[in-house]
Amino acid sequence: MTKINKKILIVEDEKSLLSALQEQFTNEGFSVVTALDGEEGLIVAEKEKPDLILLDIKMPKMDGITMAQKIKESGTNMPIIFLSNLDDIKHISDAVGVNKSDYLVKSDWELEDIVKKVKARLGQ
Amino acid sequence: MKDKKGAKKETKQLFKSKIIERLEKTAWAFVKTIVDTAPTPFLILDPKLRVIVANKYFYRTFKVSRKETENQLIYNLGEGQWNIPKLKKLLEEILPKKTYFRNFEVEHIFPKIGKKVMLLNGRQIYEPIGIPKTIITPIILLIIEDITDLKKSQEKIMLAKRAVKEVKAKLEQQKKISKMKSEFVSLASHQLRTPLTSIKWYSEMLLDQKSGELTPKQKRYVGELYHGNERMISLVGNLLNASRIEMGILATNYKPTDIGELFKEVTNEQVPFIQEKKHEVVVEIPERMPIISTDPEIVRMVLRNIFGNAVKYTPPGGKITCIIKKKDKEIIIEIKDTGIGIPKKQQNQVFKKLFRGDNVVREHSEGTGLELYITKAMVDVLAGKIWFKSKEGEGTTFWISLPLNRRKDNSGPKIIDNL
Repeated sequence: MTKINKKILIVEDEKSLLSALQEQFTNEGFSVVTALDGEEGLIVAEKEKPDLILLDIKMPKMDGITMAQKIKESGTNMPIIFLSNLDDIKHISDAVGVNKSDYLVKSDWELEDIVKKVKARLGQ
Repeated sequence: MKDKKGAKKETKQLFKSKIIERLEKTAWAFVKTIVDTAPTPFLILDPKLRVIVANKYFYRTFKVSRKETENQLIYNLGEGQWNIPKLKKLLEEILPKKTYFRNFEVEHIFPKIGKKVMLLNGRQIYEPIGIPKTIITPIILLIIEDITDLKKSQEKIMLAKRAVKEVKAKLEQQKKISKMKSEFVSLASHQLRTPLTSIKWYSEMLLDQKSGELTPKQKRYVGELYHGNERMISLVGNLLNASRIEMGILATNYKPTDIGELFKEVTNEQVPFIQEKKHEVVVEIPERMPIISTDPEIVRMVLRNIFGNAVKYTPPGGKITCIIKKKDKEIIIEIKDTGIGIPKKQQNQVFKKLFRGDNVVREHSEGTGLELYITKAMVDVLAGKIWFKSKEGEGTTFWISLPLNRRKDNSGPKIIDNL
């Protein structure tokens, strides 16, 4: 296993999905930090300064789009890839509108391809 | 002496009354001219409410003659058509007390001219200038304004205003319902996809065998699980998009879009399948492509479906030719394959819901029969067109045209913007 010197933050409220993502990215050599909602995500992002955030949208306390906006307002230009099962144009365009983020509909993506997407975004 | 004095007094009296008579005549002529010129029906009544004179407009408006009007009691005019209780009250009770009344609205049905709404103004005139009250009899001026048409148009305006208000409320309500429907479908989509994602990712991890090697049988079982789940995911996606279209809640988000770039992205997504089937893919995009105003996400779904079908339903080693060009005020995308084609007798059903080609079903049992129905509906939403030519066993060519600019006169399904 090659160690990749990159840290990603995965924000996802569905524990089964979070655990699959965490395992996959850890196996790929990423350093992974996690949060279960947008509020926690903001705290972890501030503390851990990840290189990229994989961000769910529909979550308790604070949704992913709000969290991304708050990060943008704070002036950090952190790459964000939205990973959500919301597939309607409204959510997609709202999310993509924040900092030209990527938007992946979870059920259409294999874990392997999500990793490729993240690596590409990080220039790996 | 007495007689002489008396005669002198008489002469004086006579002279005086003659002057008064002349003055009175002049005054009357003056009054009549004014009354006749005024473009509003006028009546001048004596204290016993008999008509002294009426003006032209009165005769014209109420279709009565001078003969049947002058010297008649107002209530007896025109077969008693002015015998109106409210007018009676105004003339007999209010006028003697107040000497005038102003802007009283009276609605009355006249036998000759039908229903009229009138605005009544009345005034007692006691003291004509320069003439003693004791000599000249007080007169009553009655001005009758016909405001029927004005009332009618006011009513019309009110009705129109009410109608506008009702339509606005209805639209607001519809918007609310659409928003609720749209939120419901999004939630349903999310809730259905989440467990399917879980199945997808964990079966993928099992097939990776990083957590331990599987026996060939186990591998096959998990593979079945994975593929069954994939079908479920595509079914859910198609069903939800079809219901969005049918509920009229497919939202659009128009943006400047480079169709060439978008097309390249769509073909790139298909690279693994193209390689697997050893297809040759030729894409011709002119160097200078106009940026068009459309919804890129909807176009992406449309192109994904048509190009994806070409890849999927063309036997291995086939050729797919894609040409994008600008023609007049449209962009035309042509996707030509050397696939199995669409049976002639089924060609008129291609865009119908649940259509599946007989020759397709034989080889590909999966598929929902919703893709082309959705594709057509989406093209309609974008005010575009889609058509095809096909020969079974030789191939199919699809054309999609999209307007360069957003068209307002969209006759396609209802669009609800930015819910």
